[in-house]
Amino acid sequence: MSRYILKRLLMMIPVVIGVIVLVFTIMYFTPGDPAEIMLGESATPEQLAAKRAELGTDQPYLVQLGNYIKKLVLHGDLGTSYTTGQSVTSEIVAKFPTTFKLAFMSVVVAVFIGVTAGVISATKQYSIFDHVARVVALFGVSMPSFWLGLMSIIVFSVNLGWFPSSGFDKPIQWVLPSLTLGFASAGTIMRMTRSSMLEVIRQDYIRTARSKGQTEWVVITKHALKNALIPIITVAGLQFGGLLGGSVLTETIFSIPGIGTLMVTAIKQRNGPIVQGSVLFTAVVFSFINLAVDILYSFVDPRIRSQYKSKPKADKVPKAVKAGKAGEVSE
Amino acid sequence: MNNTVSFKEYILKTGTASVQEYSAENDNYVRKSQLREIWGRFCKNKIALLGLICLLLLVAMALFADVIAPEGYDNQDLYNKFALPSAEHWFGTDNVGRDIFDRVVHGSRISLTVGMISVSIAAVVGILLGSIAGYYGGRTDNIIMRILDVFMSVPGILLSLSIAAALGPGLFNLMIAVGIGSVPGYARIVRASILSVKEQEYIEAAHCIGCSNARIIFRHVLPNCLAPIIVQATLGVASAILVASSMSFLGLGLEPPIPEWGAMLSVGRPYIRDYWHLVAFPGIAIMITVFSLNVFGDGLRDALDPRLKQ
Repeated sequence: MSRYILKRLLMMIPVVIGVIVLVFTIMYFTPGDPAEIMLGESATPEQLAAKRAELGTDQPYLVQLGNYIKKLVLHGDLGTSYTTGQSVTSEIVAKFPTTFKLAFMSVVVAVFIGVTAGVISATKQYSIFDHVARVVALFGVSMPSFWLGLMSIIVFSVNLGWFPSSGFDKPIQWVLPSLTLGFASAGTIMRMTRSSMLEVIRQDYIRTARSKGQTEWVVITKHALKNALIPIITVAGLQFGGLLGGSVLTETIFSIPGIGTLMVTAIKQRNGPIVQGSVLFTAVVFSFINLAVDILYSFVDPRIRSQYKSKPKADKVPKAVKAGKAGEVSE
Repeated sequence: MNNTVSFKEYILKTGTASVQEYSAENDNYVRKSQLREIWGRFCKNKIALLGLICLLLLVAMALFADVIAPEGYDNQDLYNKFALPSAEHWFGTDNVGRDIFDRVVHGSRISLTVGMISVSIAAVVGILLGSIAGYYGGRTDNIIMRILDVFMSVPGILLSLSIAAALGPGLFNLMIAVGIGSVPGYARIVRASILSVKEQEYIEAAHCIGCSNARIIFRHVLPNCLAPIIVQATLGVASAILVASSMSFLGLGLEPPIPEWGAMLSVGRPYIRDYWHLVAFPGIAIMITVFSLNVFGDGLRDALDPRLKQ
């Protein structure tokens, strides 16, 4: 298992370098002269030239890229913000927990709503609940999350006055942002849960479990849901990564001081290092989440865990079978 | 006769595409076009059919925007701003007295254009890269797919935002920014389909009669991968419209007075405490468009390939 994780971590290196090059290249071609942004319009040509030399922006593209990677790898230095003069790393580290908290709570909301609704839909296929849940899920997927945010501000904050419409310090301020951000993902997760559960429910071992007199609750939660989890985890993991990026809009609407607002402001101010840094940072976190999801599979599914072992030892095999619980291995 | 019955039963049971159907009148098989088969299967899905109808209405609205809303989208009336929905202004008026209904109607042109063109950009590039990677395999495949991995590891909206920042505002730049993020999706689908068909005998036969690689890819391989591409493109238009409106909302796509739905939401946002109608209707327009594309795409997937039906 640890060998597998190590291999995956090593495989991440070229991708991260690729992302650095990609993001750097995009920002390199962004119009606007950093020296002018920092010094303002009143600066003399000499001052501008001196500033460019100081920032290194008068160097050729490859030299600049090399310097950027060198600083990043050796010192973890993502450059300096053009507007505040602070280090980009410290700004991102200060803002990231908020974004992560928002994305995490949205995933929790999405998984809770999505899995519950999906399981009920699958067990009561073609019932009224099923039809309503599927249409609501489709609307959830089709709705722009920022519009849902605006409408929920109008309803719950302006008209009913239940929740505040901005800020992210107190738990009551978390409710609207995480619900609006999580709603669309809940739709996706619900659809996945439903189709995955429908497939599992028709398996023989579910009939076996029912015929041995197991209660329906145990059959569904323990035998069926556990086996249906793999695709659900995949989708939830992908959603989590997507939500980290998607929180840009939710943060803007609810005035939440996270990476998203930092980045949007930076784009408008042509503050290259901050944009580069936040995209890079989010992409790396995204890759780690994907890795975590892959590792999570092996905890959920012993069949996958046994695949990771390069040389299966004789004494470990019975353990995996035991952990799988009799009757749960469908293939 | 026994055979014919079982064949028919087989088709009915599996729902697979058949090119022939038994006709009692002629006591023979009649050729039935595959398109009609697909259409027949599609029509069974009522909600997908609803999606298609909505979509056709939207396209008609975009085509006849000048007839439906002859006033145009930038007709300001400062004496009549923030008017609530009424018989005269169905969706009310915005902060400079422009009729929101007219703007929503004209906005459909922009959203549909942005959606379709950015998807076309993504699909053309993705199909090209995917077929090269899948067909040639080996090192070519590795290089192309690793580069696409890089694009996939940046969350889509962040990639589009930074590209939009680099290119600057404008319709065409917005389309490119939205399109680039979805290139890897198409490339992966095409590559997977090509890998599944390229070992089949008819490709070998094409090689033997001396077809060029390009001819084999475009004439023999790609038509067999068309179904998943069409489905992905339909669903892709939906997400492209969402991304484009998000970017305009953030002020990085199209700017007012262009009646882009996302930009309209951005205009209305400061006034939501007092005037809900400024943001309600453009959002509903986005939602209906994306919803109909999504259900249409789902229905299309089930109709094109019944094996994938969920």
